[in-house]
Amino acid sequence: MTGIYEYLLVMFLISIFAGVIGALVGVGGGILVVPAMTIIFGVPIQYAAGASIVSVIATSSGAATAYVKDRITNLRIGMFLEIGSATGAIVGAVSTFFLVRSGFSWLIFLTFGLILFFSAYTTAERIRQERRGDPERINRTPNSIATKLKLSGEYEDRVLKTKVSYIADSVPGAFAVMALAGLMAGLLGVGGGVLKVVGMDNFMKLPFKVSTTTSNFMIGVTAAASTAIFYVGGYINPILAAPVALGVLLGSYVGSKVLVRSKPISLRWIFVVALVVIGAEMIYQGFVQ
Amino acid sequence: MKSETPRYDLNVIVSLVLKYGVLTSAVLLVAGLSLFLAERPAGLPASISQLISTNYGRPTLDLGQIFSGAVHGQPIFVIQLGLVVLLATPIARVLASVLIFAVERDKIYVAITLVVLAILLLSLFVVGPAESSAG
Repeated sequence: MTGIYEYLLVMFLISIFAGVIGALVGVGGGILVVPAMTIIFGVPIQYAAGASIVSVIATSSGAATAYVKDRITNLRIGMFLEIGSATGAIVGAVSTFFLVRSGFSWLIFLTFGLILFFSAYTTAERIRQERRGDPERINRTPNSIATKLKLSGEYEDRVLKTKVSYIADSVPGAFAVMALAGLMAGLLGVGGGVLKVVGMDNFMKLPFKVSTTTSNFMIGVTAAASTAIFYVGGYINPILAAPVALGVLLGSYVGSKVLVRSKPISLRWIFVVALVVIGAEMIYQGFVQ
Repeated sequence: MKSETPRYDLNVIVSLVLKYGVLTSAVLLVAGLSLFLAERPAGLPASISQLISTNYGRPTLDLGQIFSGAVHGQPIFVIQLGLVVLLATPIARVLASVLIFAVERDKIYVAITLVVLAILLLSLFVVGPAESSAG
């Protein structure tokens, strides 16, 4: 199965699915696109990673229109945290070269895999609490950093039919997680969206929809920071990337419409599955390398 | 009320810019792929492995070449133009955010957003080219 026609059709379909999931839980969808390209079609990993960067940006921009209009994305929180993420991404992208040479990349994959498994556990734990009747653990207690940087807001939830207000908690902790997310993004050529959601969900204790849509905004910017490396290297092949871009744009647009109509708890379940799948893939990569 | 009105307008503007950016990109990608499939003569790659081994469609940084190629209906450049438009949308969004915060007279966030923009431009014009020439 290496014909151009098969490639265009199959990758377009897989990318639609990747776009829907990506828009729902704030990740880039590269995690589906990269293995599909390398395993099914034998595309070299650099080209798959190049298409993956395109898919991250497409997820972000394709879903953005709906999120900006519904005003769920918190632009201030996203922009502030992006300083950490974008810096981490550059450090990550530059150090990949040295890490691959010195043969330590397996350690990176294993570490991130374990972090993601742990995050899956804590997220599942919160779903259990919520099911027992505890409300979503949203922070509403003011703190000095959040007040100074205006890291708070509210959005109208169409499903819960209420205005949900929130204030960011543990800002330094969340900022550190964002730097780590950026590092992961730069090292592995992905958006680092999973860790961004974990940082906003577990540390800042924001409403889940705010965490995923703000992550959706941020992954596009982080990916743009590492685009140049892939583009100049010639790894964003137009024919290979085009069906991915189109499929993801369509999928993430659909996903964004689904998100505003979904219950936060359902989205959290999808996120747990995403964490386990991505974590397993990282650990597998760690053993292979 | 006075501070609410401009904020709403700018959100709508950003939303529209994104919408048309994404639509333009999608239209170019569909057109480019259709042209590619319709015009593909025998000399062009038949398989993925051939496409990679011949380095077919290696992206160029020359925006002028992409644009004139696209205008002349060369499929590979139409697709590339679509990708360039798509890859530029996050940068356009950061630029728009600078404007939003400036209109809101939020100096801290104008500064924060400019830092993000600076990091982006640094990676695009300094780190990227340096890395790929080193690698």
